[in-house]
Amino acid sequence: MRATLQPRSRESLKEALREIHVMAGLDPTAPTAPPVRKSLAIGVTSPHFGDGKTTVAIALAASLAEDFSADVMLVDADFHTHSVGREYGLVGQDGLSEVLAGTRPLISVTHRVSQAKMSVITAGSAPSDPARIARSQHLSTLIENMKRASEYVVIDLPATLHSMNAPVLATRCDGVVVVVRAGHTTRQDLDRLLHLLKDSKVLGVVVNRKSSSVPGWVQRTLNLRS
Amino acid sequence: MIRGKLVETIFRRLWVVAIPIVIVPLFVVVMTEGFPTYESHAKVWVTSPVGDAQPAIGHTNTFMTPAQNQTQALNDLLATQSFRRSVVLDAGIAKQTDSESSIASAASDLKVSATSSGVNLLTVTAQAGSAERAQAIVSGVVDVYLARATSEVQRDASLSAEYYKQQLTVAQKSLDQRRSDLAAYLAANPRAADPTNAASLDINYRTIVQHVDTQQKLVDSLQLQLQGVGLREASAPQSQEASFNVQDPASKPSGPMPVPSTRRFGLPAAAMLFGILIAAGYVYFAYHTDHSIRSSEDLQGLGVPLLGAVPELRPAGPILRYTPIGWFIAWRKRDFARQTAASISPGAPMAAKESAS
Repeated sequence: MRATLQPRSRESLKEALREIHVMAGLDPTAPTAPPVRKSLAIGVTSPHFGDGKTTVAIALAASLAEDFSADVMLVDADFHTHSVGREYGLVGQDGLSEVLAGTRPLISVTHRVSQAKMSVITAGSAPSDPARIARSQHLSTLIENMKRASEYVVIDLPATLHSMNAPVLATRCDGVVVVVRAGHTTRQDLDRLLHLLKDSKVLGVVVNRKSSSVPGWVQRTLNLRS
Repeated sequence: MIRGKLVETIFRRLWVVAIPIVIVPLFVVVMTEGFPTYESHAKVWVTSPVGDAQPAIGHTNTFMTPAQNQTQALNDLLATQSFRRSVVLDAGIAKQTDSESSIASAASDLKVSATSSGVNLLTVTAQAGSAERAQAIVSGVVDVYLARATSEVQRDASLSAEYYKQQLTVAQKSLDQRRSDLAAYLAANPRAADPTNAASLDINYRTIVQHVDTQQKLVDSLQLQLQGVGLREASAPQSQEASFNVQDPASKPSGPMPVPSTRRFGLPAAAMLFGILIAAGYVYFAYHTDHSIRSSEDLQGLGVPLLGAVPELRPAGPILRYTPIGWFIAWRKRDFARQTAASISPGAPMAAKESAS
């Protein structure tokens, strides 16, 4: 059953994502954007499961497609959770692991989302040796192919502190967005994550599920930063 | 500058922070206002014993007034557990059939004291949770004190009487002996009985007569003392009532004692200050042990920028959020955030073959 979505929630989410586009340098209309735009592969990871990386990855991909009318490919590289496939009703469908195994071509596992310039690739069945796949040259080639097909490739990576594949996969991306859960993720966890991602280009941190208990008038009175 | 995280820590735990600030003063208010205290008084006229006599209880300090002497004696007695125990039983606060520990506890809890209000006036004051009890305690103190004093006088008189009786028996026996010695001398020297005769001036005769007279005086004195002791013993209750005369019996309080303003306002204020200190300590602890990330402040030193913050997406509105209904909705729609994210770019995914075509 689909939840009845509140337009206000969607608008606040879109507004937050616009800020992320600008801050991460993903906005092609920004004055600082290079004149010749090349495709980007953006990895999205988090320290732990449940921090909201898949939500942010989906939102980021959807907002890039919506705001910039760009071709966006959302790839589920988290073989542990298969969350992207579940969200788009593609559970059990072949996906990335079949392509990496060479049993399916990329085009045959790419699901285009109607009414949007966005396509989705699920994780597929769990590979027997994900570590070897993550380090394979074939994955690099595959990501290059994805970048040729789309302007943005958003890759939902595994939780970094739970899968050593995440740092390896992150190095194949042009940039990595780290999602932390407000009030839950600690500085120590983020520090460990950043240490593991030291060979990757970390674009920055997105604080997910941010909420404030401070009333608005108090924030205004004390001039608190949001 | 006030750190946002500190303010967030306070408001996020507002209920926990508010509890000591509210509960501690509330507890103090309930303790001061919730248990009214009643006070009863009795005024007693006290006089010193006549002459060199000592009072029944305590000693007379000549530098103090009769009221002060009696107050000292009564307060000394009130410091003893046995006197308090007697008061508790006399006042009906405890019964003889009650356990020893409960009687002792009731005796320890007595709030009673004596103060001198003038040269001869002594005031007994008691405080209790009810008017009747306060009155009963004051009455009990007066009754038990009088009974103690009377019994002390009687005991003292009884001991004295016993002593004088023994002394009198010995003196009487000695007197009888001396009289018989005199009779024997007169039988041997009849002329000595005639005062005009020279034999009456014999030194031996005069010595025997003097011995008899001296012993007779001793016996008379002892009999007089014994009578006095008997009188003291018999009149002990009356004499004690005279020297410890209750002028105003224990009053029945018409209402509870007024709470002093320092106690009414000062204690809750102090309690609130204490509650604030507890809350501040808790906030300090919570703030310094919270290493979670909430804002760009928390990323300082890690070398990564904050790209943005995604607000918490909740299916229930702000009113329902903290209600069981809200929790149920949140559980039922636990994929709400992800669905909201997917809804930014509307449309369902098409089959892969369809996409390829």
